[in-house]
Amino acid sequence: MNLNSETTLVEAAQNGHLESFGALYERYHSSMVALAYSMLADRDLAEDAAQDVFAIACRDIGSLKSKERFAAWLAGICRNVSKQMLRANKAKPVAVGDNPAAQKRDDTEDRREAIRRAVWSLREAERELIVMRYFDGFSQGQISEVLDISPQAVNGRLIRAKRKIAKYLKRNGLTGDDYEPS
Amino acid sequence: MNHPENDKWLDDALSNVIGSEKTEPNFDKWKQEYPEAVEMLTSRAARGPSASKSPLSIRKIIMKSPITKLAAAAVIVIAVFIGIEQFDTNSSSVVWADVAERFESVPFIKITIYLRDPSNKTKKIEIWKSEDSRVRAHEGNTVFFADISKHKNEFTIFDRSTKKLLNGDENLPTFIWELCSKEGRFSLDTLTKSFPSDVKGIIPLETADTAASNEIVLFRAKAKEIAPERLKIWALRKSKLPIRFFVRPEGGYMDLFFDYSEHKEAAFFDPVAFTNQ
Repeated sequence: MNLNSETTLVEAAQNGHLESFGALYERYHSSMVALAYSMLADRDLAEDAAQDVFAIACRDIGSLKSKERFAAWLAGICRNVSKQMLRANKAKPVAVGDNPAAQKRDDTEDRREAIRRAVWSLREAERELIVMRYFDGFSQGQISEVLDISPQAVNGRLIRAKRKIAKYLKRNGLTGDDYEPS
Repeated sequence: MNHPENDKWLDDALSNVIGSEKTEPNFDKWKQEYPEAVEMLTSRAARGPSASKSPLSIRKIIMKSPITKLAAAAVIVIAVFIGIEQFDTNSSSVVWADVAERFESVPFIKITIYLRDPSNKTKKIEIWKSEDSRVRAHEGNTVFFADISKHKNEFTIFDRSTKKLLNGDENLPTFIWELCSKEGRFSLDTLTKSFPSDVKGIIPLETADTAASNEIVLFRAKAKEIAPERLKIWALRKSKLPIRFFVRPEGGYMDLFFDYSEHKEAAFFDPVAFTNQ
């Protein structure tokens, strides 16, 4: 992260410079979609949530005092927006087991569903990490910045979360031996 | 499967299930969808650079929005604690350094702030700090929780009536955080490091009333923008604890009361307990 460049952008945006806010939008849009997706489990809703996040950020950026924490501040807004969408019943945390088409699913789809269920059975903080890592291949540094935890903590939590997923899958009869990439 | 986290199949499976088409941020489209937000941001340009680079002006800050007034309150409080010089005086055995030291040692505290802006609107803010450095604050219908022992500016904000989680307006939590210091304790010294010095000295004055003077010591502070009679601090002579802090810049005032008697249970500082009530 180029801290100076980012704090300069934030400061410029706080002073009403729309292009600077646009640069921040371009930089963090994808991570906000991923973060929202980790809560909403719906790509379209996650996109909508991310748009709302930037609208709130645009409105309230003047209140941000710690310019170097812009990403974490944005993530806080994103969590709140996503929770509000969940509360408003606009989304379900994860749509597993209630799909009418499920009965017709083949084994590959069953496995995908099991993996999906394993991810969404994680605690929110772990799920955020896993989704950010695999949604769009964010680096440890990018995840660290958005989730406001150290890169070491990202690594440690990622390992623990993956162990939990593997354990869940094993309990449900799915191991690497069964897995066939689709 | 001792180290499943290293298994390539798991990486592949997760990428396959969670992985998504690349997002395509389109700022121009976003601007069209949120013209009001754009308008709010661009209107800031007309107001000039943000206050963060401007020299401290109490009157200017007090004139701002309600939430910013809270931060302004902090700045005033903090500014008064800054640049404190030790005045040798024969008139009192209590000096400001004693008060600052004593203040830092209290295990828990409640601070009630009354803030009046030029439009004569009075705002009440209440802040509690626990023995284990948790903080809860009330302002209007909003309640804030923070754990300052973590040395991070993390907080949770709720609507007090509905218990709905609110979006983060950083001013008040930052205010609390700064008031409580970055070291997980209430320290006046820490505050002095990060704010400009507006106040040059706090000196004790004798009160005319002999009886009151035996119990209370009154401090006066020198400030750039505030006349001495507009800034007063009262402390208990025996315990050396500050009990009241009054600042009256033109067009408004801020009155702080320190209470060391109101001990709160751990659940009071717990946001989860709050939402489950």
